[in-house]
Amino acid sequence: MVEIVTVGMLLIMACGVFSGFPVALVLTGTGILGFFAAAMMGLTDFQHLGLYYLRVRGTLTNEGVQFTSVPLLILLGMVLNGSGIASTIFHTLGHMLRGLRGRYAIATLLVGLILAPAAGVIGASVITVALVAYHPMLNAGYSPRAAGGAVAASGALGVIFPPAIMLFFVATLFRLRISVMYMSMVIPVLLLVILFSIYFIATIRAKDDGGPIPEGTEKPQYLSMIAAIAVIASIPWSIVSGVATLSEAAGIGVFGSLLLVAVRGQLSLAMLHNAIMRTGTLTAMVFFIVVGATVFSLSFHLVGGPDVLFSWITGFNLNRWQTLGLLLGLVLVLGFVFDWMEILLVFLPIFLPIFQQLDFSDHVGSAYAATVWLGALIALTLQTSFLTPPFGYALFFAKMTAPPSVVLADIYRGAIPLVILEVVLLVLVVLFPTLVIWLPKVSLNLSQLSL
Amino acid sequence: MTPDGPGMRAVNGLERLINSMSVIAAWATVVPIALFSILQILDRKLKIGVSSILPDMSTSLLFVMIFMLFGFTYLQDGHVRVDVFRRHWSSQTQAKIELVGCVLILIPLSGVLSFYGWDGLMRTTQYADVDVWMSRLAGVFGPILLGLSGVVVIARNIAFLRGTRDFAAPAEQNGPLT
Repeated sequence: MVEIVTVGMLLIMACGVFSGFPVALVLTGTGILGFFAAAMMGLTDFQHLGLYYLRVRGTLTNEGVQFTSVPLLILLGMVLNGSGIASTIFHTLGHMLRGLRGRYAIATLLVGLILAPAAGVIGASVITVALVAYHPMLNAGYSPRAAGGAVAASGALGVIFPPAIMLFFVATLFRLRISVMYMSMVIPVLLLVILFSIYFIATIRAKDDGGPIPEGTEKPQYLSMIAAIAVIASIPWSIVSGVATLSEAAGIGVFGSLLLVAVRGQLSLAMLHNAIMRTGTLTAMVFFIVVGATVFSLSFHLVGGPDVLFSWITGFNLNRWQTLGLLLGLVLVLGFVFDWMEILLVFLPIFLPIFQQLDFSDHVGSAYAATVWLGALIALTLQTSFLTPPFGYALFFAKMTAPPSVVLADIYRGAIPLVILEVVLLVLVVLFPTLVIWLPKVSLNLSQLSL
Repeated sequence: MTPDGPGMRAVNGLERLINSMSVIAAWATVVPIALFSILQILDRKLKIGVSSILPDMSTSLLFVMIFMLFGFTYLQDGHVRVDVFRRHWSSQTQAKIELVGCVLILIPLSGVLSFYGWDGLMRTTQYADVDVWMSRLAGVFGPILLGLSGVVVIARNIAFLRGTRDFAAPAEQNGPLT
């Protein structure tokens, strides 16, 4: 009976989600149906539905999780986006890298990294980059394949570089310090940028690339770019140095961005209003999924769903490496159709007991370090899935914002070599966990703490 | 564009009400949360003595923001959808799915949340702090706004399916998708 209800819940959820109705509502609806199933099985009482409400309220008002940092990070991204800083940074980087083959593709990657806070969701990240990068790349003679691949890769990079919001949810899920999570991603992401850049330099043959800057292009504004980088870097810096908590650091970032925009003469009531409303709607969107995931997982646990999944997976008699491979493979596949929010808030909590049973402390150094490593692997796997054809989220957004000359097949062809590089990096991180845990260790040692 | 009848004008009015409430809620929550985060740092340096209240206040404001903007976000089509198949479907099919989803999930959910929100509000004593009152009130009004946004979408999609409206809701509020 438990197995039937578990499969039933998963099927109903899958049908609902693929119908295109909002995921949060589907999760909540399936959760409530699961509750009624549990009540009919005698596992709970119909009157206990009120406890769900209390649990949802308790989750949203849990001060220990610092959820208040989420709207602040989104607001920071919105203010910077609204000010046109992405275009300024892109053209300044393009100017700095003149003479280098593939400079616009590399500038595109770096814009994605610098504007990481705007990458609350993959769509926002890709669109931010696409709006400023497509035309200069295509005008410089880049093939649609190279331009599309660069835009998709850049947008996908943003979601895993500090202070990206996704990392906050990974840290929360695995109960890690946010500073440790942030630090763990720096080296892998920079390695990825280096690998992608080498690939672009080696493969891009554009007629105007490396030549003089075309007339009419936005002038380089080094001060604005440095100030924007400083504002964003102030967030991880203030957390790692112990000056502020995540929420406070995000607040510092918001005021820094407002100051920057005011200095650039672009602060207006209309821009601020737009940023605040976008912040409100994006925050509501993220937390509606939190609500849906809470209701769904409560019912799923109530009917014994995780035990069923756990027994299925352990039934394969896999060793820890095979189990890790299977779980990361599942995350990869889920990432083809779901944004990171659903995966981190709905699916990973279900698989968390299995992750927690995997003991890699001998491979990584300690149990805590192994958890950091697992968190980083999940983040990197998710990022890879967003870029993997034919379903990768970033690819669709890269197409949505592309000029008509760039077709989806071009973007697929541009992304495939980048996905291969991502898989190479994933293998490197699996084999050499020090790539992930070295920087957190150094930063904690500076604070006289240990990993 | 087909001219709106009295029923549709009432629905448009409902949408304006939801929008106005949401704009007020967004400004009244986002700005203070940002200010409080800075105040907390200052308080540690200057010892103003507000550090103990601010985290509670910020958390309650976040709750207010989330609950009050659920409906508005839905009307703006801001909630995440998996559109692997949806993007290939006709506007009519999308409108029917939205209609069924609203009737089976959104409206009942709004009813359940309002019921328990009201229960929570009734249990709030006059001695409760301001932040508790704020979140309890949002716990009632937010789900009502969500339900009203569902009513707007239902009405517009019925009109669309009957051919008296040009676009489905909420995705095509501002024009066709394709």
